Amino acid sequence: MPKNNQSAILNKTTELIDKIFNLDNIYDSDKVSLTYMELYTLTFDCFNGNTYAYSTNRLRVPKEPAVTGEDLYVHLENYLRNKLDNVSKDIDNISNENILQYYKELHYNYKRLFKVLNGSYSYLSRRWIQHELDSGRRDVYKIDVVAEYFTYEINQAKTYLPEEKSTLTTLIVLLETIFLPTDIFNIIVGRLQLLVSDENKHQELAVLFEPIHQLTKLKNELLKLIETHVYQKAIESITDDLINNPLFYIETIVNIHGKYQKLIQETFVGDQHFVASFDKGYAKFANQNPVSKTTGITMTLAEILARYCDTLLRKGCENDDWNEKLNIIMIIFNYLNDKDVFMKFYQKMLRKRLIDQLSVSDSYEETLISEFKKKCGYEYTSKLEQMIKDIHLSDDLTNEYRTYQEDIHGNETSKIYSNNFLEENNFFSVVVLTSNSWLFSHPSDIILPIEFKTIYDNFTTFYLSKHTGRKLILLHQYSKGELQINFTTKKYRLQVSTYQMLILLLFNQELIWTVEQIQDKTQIRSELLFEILLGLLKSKLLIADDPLTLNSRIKLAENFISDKTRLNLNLPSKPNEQKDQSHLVTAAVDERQMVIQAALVRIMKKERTLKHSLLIQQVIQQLTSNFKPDISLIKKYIEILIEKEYFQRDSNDKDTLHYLA
Amino acid sequence: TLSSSDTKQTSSSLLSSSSNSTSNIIDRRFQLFKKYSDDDELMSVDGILRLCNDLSLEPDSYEVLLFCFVCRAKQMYSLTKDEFFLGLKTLGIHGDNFSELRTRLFNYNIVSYENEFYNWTYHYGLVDGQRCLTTQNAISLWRLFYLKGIERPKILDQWLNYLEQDINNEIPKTITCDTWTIFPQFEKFIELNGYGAYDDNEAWPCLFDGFVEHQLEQQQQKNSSSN
Repeated sequence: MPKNNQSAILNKTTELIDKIFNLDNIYDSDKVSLTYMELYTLTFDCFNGNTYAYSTNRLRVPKEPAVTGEDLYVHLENYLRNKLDNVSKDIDNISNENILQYYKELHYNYKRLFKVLNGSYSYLSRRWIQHELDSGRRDVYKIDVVAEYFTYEINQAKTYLPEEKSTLTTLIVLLETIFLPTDIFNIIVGRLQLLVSDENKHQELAVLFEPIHQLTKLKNELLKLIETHVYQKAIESITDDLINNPLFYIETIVNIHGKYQKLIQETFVGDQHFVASFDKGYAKFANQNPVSKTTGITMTLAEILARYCDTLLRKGCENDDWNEKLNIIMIIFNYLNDKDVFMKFYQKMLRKRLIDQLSVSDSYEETLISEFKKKCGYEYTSKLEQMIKDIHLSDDLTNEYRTYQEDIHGNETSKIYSNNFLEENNFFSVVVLTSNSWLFSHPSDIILPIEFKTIYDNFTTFYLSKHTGRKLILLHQYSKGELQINFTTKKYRLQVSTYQMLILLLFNQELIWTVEQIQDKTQIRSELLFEILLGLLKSKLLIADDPLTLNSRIKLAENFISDKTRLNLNLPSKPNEQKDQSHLVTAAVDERQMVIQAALVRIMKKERTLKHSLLIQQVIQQLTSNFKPDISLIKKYIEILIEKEYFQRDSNDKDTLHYLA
Repeated sequence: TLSSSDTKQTSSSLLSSSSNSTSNIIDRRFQLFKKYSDDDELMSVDGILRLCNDLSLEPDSYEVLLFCFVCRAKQMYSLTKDEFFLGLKTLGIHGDNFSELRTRLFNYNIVSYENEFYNWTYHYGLVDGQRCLTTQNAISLWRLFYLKGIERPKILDQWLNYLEQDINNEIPKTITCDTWTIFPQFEKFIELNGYGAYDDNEAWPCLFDGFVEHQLEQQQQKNSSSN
């Protein structure tokens, strides 16, 4: 019974569609609507019979479903496929001259036909597709079928209407409105959203990718869904504790990157639009500053990445997997918006690594810098390279100076002097740094003790004889030395900063000094002096009354004793570091206003006359290797430059700017 | 010098009797100028205030702005002799007939000079060598400019309110010449297309970005409260 019923209904359907197809006069709206209604009723009955066992007078439908929605679709699909196959055979037989004419007619008829068919099946579309989607069907023929006709039509158009590109666009829009009316479109998008958010179902997405790929409107929706999904998932996978550990943080977000990149690759066979969507979602996530809920600390990606590099370059990595780490750094670096802020942090940390000789490997340093250079150009890394070069040159310079000193004193016969001298000379090393690459703040002047001043003056004479016109500034805050204690029974060696040395050497002259006297003799500014004195008191090498005031008397601890013979008193003072960080960000952001204005002027000077929008585009292009400039910021600086009479708006067209020389 | 050279040209081609009357006109204009000028060269604030008084015009009225424009005055509340003569000549005033001057001013058709009048107003408003108009002065001048002769923009009140209230504390102290110059284009664009069509990526001055954003917010609030 049901079998018969089914074929009866399907036959009836074929008959009806045929009827529509073969209508001589498509404009005969009476005939069309008659068949249309019949077809509509038929599908309506089939489906309602299926669900409600609803009986009508025209066709008795049993409770068991005779024809399912799917059957109707498969039927329609086959029918249309046959039809179109025939059409393309026909086309092959038609001479070139007539092809356009034939195609035009055919296209027109089909357009008409699809409209009718779509109307007839609209009931089914609404009900059945909704139903199927609700019950979680794997793939819906609808999309498949639709996509097939799209491709068919588009290919036809491409083959036969190569000159008329404009028609093609119109055709696509038309096809979209015919086959994807808003309600159906929304249903499909809803379904896609489910598939995207459930990562186990990405296999299904992969199946759907092929058809959707051809439907621009749907594809755009899917692209948006992917972008949001990647962003959401990535944000969710960041936990609070990660933020305090740059090593874990960077590696976690790189893992997230890898995971989704693979997923996109597999699901969408590396389609460039989907890759771009993924990139966009990921970049948005990565550049959002993570905030620790427990500590309230906000960190920028720029700072975390710089810290990550610093940690690796100080401690090295296990199993020599530097290349892998390098890869990780560059993945994140590529997504980083504020590359200028990053550079500020990186430079500061490199400075510390180089001066305190904390770097684990010169080649690591150099390979990383060359990666940055590859990505952002020569200018971006020029300061870093100069810094590394300064350190290398300084090694040579120190050696040269030692030889020079030996040559001078070699002639002198006094053996005692010579011994003393040799030790001193071998102990001396110097680092000469180019001031604008290192950005040191100049220390305030102090009075150098005679022991130290001789060495410094000798070196200055030597250096300036090689490089005339340069100026040497001693950076006391980074200099250090070694002192030997002779007043105790055990001989101790002390590693000290310049400031500590200055103070301790005073005790060669007197055993007791007041703080005021020390300041008078050294000229160290009082805030710093107190800090250093407190450090020395803590080491128990000096003794003073508590609390420490300007009048306090300080004396040497004559009974000083320690387990170790070498003592490092030159410990960094920690608390200053935190303050510095926010300062670096503001410094970078402040620099941007100059950078943007310079770029604007540079471009306009070259172009003389340029559209406002193109100017903005070119500025963004030039600056993205440094940071992502805000359009409103660029606009603001354009206005400032108009006000400063560097640029002028065209008097007839506000969108055009002229450069005023 | 424009007016005097003009009259020279005319006088040479005219009969002696009418040349008498041209010099007569110049003489009467000069007498009028002298009445309000301290040094026969410049009419300063004081003189202008007296002139306004004799004309029964408020010094800050639209007509006074218009008269200064007709004179192409370079500085606020100061007229040179040449500027004053140009003004009288343009209005066709031959003597010291104040009621005629008033009538001519009230009937003067400014429409064909709209652009020139508008751009002139900005520079006229600059005092003491300023490069930019203070926002306060700009607001007054906008209000005055659109008072009578020129069609008043529909968004003018919203715009001036936005500047005056400065709710988000984002209004600059001065209005740049650029912003002033583009304003008529901007107001016509909004009137034609509405706030929704405004694209802040386009070449509009930033101040308009903030204004449109504010108006859209207002509209949204209105819509949500009416629902």
